[in-house]
Amino acid sequence: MAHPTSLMIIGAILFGLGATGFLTRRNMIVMFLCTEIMFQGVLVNLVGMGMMHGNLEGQVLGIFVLVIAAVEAGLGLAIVVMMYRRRGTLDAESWRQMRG
Amino acid sequence: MSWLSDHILSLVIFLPVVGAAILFVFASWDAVLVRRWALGVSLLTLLLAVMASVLFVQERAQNTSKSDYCLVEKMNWVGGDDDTGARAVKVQYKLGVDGISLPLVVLTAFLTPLAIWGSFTGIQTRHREYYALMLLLLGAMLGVFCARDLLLFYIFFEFTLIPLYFLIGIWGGSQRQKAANMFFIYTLTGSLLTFAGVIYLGWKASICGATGHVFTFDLDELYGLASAGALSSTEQWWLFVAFFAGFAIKVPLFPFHTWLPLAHVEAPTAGSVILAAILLKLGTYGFLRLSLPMLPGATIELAPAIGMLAVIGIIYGAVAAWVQSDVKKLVAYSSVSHLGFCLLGMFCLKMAGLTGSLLYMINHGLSTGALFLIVGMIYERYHTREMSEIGGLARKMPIMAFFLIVFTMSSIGLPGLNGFVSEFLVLLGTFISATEINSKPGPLGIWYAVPAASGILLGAIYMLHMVRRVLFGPVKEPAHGFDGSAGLTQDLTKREIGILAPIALCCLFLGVYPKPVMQVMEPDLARGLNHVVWETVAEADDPETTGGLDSRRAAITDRPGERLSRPPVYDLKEPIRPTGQPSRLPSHLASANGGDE
Amino acid sequence: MELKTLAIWIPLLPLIGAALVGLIGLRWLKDRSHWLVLIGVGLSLVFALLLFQQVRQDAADVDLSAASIVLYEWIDAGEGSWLNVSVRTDPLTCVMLFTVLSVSLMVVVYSVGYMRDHHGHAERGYERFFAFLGLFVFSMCMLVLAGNFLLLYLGWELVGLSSYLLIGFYYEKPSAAAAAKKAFLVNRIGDFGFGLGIFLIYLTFGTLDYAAVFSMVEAGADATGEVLSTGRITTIALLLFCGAMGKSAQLPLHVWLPDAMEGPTPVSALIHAATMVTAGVYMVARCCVIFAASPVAMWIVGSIGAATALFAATIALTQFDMKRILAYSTLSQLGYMFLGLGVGAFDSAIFHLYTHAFFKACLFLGAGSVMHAMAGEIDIRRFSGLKRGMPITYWTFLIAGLALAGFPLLSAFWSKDEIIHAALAGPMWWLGWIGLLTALLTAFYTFRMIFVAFHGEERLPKGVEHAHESGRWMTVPLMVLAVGAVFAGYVGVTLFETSGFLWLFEPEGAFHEFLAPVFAEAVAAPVAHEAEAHGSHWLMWLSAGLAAFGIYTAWFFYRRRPTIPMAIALASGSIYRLFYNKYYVDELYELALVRPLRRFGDFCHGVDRFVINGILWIVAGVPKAIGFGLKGWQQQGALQGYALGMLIGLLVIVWWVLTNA
Repeated sequence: MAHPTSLMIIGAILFGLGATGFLTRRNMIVMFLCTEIMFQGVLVNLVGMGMMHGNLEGQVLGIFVLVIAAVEAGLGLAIVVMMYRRRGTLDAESWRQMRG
Repeated sequence: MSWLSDHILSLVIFLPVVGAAILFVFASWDAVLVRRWALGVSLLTLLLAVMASVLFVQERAQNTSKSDYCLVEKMNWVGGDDDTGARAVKVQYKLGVDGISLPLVVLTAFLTPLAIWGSFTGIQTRHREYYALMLLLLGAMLGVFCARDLLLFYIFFEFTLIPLYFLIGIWGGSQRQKAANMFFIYTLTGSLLTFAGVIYLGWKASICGATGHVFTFDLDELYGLASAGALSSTEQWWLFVAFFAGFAIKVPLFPFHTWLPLAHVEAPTAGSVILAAILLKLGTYGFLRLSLPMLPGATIELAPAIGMLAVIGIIYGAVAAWVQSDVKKLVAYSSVSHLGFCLLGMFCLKMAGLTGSLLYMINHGLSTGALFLIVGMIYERYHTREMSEIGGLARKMPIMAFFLIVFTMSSIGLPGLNGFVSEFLVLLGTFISATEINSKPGPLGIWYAVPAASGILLGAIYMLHMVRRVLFGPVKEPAHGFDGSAGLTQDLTKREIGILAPIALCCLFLGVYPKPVMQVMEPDLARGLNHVVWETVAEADDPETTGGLDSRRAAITDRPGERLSRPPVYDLKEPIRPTGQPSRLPSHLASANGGDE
Repeated sequence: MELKTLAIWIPLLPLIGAALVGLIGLRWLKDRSHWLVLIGVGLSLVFALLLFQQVRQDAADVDLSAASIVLYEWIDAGEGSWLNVSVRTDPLTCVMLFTVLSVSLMVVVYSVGYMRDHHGHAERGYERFFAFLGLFVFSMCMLVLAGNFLLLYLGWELVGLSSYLLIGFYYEKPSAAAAAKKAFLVNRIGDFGFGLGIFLIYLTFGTLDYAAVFSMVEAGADATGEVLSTGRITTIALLLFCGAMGKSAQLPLHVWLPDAMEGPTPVSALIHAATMVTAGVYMVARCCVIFAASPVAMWIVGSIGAATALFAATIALTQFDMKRILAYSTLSQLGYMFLGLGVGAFDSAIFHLYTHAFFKACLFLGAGSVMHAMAGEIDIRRFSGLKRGMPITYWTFLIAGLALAGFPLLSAFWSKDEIIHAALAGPMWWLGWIGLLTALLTAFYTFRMIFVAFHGEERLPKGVEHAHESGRWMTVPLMVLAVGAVFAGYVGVTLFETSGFLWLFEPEGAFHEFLAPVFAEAVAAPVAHEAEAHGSHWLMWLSAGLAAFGIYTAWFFYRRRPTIPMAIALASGSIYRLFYNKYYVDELYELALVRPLRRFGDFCHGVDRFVINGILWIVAGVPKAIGFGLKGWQQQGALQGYALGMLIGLLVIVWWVLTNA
């Protein structure tokens, strides 16, 4: 039986890994996967919090977010595919239009 | 009562919204069908609004106290009635109309179909989006007037911006982007401050309301909070300023009016009509619904300042209108002048003034809305609004000339038409504001009324100037002449007569026999004025019984987070009469109020 | 019939006629449009006579302090204190209704002939003309029937609207359009004061009902029972008088009336001579109690009246446009009426109003007849000797002209003398002498016009082959009105008094008796002129002599020695120019009022564009500048740069939360 604290530590580690990956890698698919890892970190955190309060709301919210995340992953990958078709590369540096 | 009377307001609000959604479902509809659908839906909304007023009158007739709003519909939206002790938010979907909002609901439902009908020839692109936005706008405006929950009110209030932003930005004139942006940012900036005020009120209710530690936005509870004297004069002052920021820009009160002429000039005809006729009234309605009853102390304190701005606006708008060369801009500036009257009447805090002010909202909606429609009709024919390019149109368009003169006369307050009744009442209320005639003395007086009355002269100057330039003199048309490509005849078509004639009839009816409308309005206005504003102030300002408003508030709120053992008394039936010198009333009122015991 | 029913139908009939003509005139009635309005006004006149009969019968027990007849509740001034649509049917109203409706009927009949060309085809806008005429009659009836100040204001504004529409009837003529606008706006200046007066009445008395207000003024108390201050009552009276000055074109608000002659001549006759312009006189007479309570206000009313009378007469001496001469003469006669009001002779002023309506309408319609025959030409220098070609027009014009000049035994002789007599008997005796001087000028300029236009050898403007008499529609009203100009005065005269003027006539007759209850309260106070009215016939001889002298001088100057006027004009150079250019009042207005206001408008518009929008631009510039500054080093478009920024922000927040928790 996992302790809430350990779950939260795992969540924090996952989030940190994801964030680091997102900031350092250039490949869009990898970056996208990194965001998913950050997501999972937050989810584990939610579950841990739920355990701490002794109710199921954390897990309910976790599953809810998971479903949304699945949808969002499909959407995100579709966008990545479209972007690849436009430029022929997966390098995030090739998209610099988002200047103010 | 019946299912219908329980849900009529939701039907009124959401019928147009559903209608707009359906427009997108049936993508195969062509422009003609889309137009007809939009017109049909809006007419059905009008029918429902009329039914709502019938039900309202019935319900009020049965309700002996005649003091509450009717056709209530209530549902928890965010948060609920759970009493877990945790600080929660309670936002309700709560609707209801009273004598103040019902006339505005009917006005909205009456003018929007006409505006939609008036767009049939003017709008040539993107029909589906246009009519969907019009219907959305209709629903949002109706929502503002029906909402009985402050947050719901605010949501509808802000939502009206979105359709109009697109209406101006897509179907507008040459500077449409700039106008749309200015309109949007300007009004949004103001109303964000209002939002801060809304949140503060909800928070205030959570720490000293009767509902426990719940953020509530229920207007009834907030009124109760205010009349129990929970808001100190400083709080009232700041809240008033916050509400003022949103509403004064919306009205628009001088000097916050500069977005209006630009927005009007660039907006498509129907956009101008709705903007002038109804959206500006959201501001005045906001003052009437929120500032006056909830912040009576600040209202009385700041009324002279607002009265002054209103008077400046009346004169300033009128003379600025006079020098315009663009007809639409002229009418837009006339709105600044007219809305000055509207606020003046409201802040004189007399029954005559308040009735006049509310009537003014309706009358200005009718006459200015119609004027914008006529300007649009001229524009569709000649593609210009410059007075130097057109002239003598009475010869070419006699029917248009007839209507233009009718609405001009209505606008300049010719007795027998609607404008006069409201203008007279506003000026009368301001004139007698400092006296005890008909109701308790108010903060304004004769020195506001006299310069404001010059508006009746200045109004005639610029309107008749416009009539003379456009209708009279030798016929003058732009070089490219009359454009009948949209199926227009030189003079008004039957459709256009059908749009203007109902408005003209309303103008005549409201001018000759305004009694039915007045009787709907008055009980609620009187309640708002006498029982909320004056008695709250009198009670709160009584230093001997409670040690003044500030100290009492301190007694309530010095224990933040602690639930009050006894909720404040909301009983309005037994007001504590003033026994001493009211401290914050202007000196000329103080003696009159003291002598009232 | 009941009083109430009559009072409802009198204004309503012309309105129904007008509305029907407006709705179906253009399509179906066309050049038969006049019938509906004619019938409406005719029936109204019958009803007015019935009302008159009724009021006379009840004269003994009529209670003027009783509240008016309420038709319905109109506007709520707060807490259920309704301002009603109510009518008052007292002798003054009856006299006004009779005057208004009889002249209106004649003018409507006349217009049927006038608004057509020589072939009998209706002019453009024929139905519009009659619809407006009906609207005017309705408004005027409302004005005189009103039972409170608010309804009076309604009638007041509606006659203004009708006048606006009718002056601008030939709207394609820029001068007509400008004149219409000017008339409305100058009237609105007066109405500004009038409106303030009404508000002040409400402020003081808490009601707008005539009976209630007047009884409070008589009692000298305001709504709360406190003593009414003279200052307050004077202010009210003067503000009301502002309205009268606008509507009745008294100095300095007279500028619109001469320009109003741009309208069709029947309109000038009806609205700008006989009826609407006398509304101010009616209003002051109606509020006689208020005015009588303030000596200052009375003094001002009388002085302005006298000044206008003399001022307008001097201008009339030099004008050449027939209608303008008549317009200035109207101003002058209105001045007489106000002079009468100012010295407290309210009944005499109303008497003069009543006689003036007939002879002035007759004169204007005569001028219209000339204009019709001369193809629109109205300048008396362009034609002469019309006597032979247009005998009916000539004779009726001559009779009405004699009446205007105050020739003995004609209507104005009685009424004008009464006013001058009352003035001489009162403390402001010098106003009476101004009146006498004006009487001389009146006789002179009237007959200047008659001698130049109708006498001498026949001379016609270009394009007119011969002067021809107008048709029956036009000549019958002329004759009826001429009869009125002769005999209308006799209702105010007691006949067969052997001690009277010419051993037969004594001023103050049935007319004054009938009106006496209305003015009873007011007349008693300032001037007791009645007592002295009898037995001072020297004034009558004097004014008869002045009239005869004026006519003789005109004959001498313009028939016997036509070079004299020119010589005088040259000799008096600048004074003549001053008269001819109407004392430059229009130019003064333009300089002192219109242009500064226009500049102020430009200024306001400039403030909008530069000051307010400038401040907005600055306010909006702050975030814009910050954003621009940040863009340089942060907004490079690299996705991961943004993500790093977010992460740093997040860490800062977490750090802050942790250290402050």
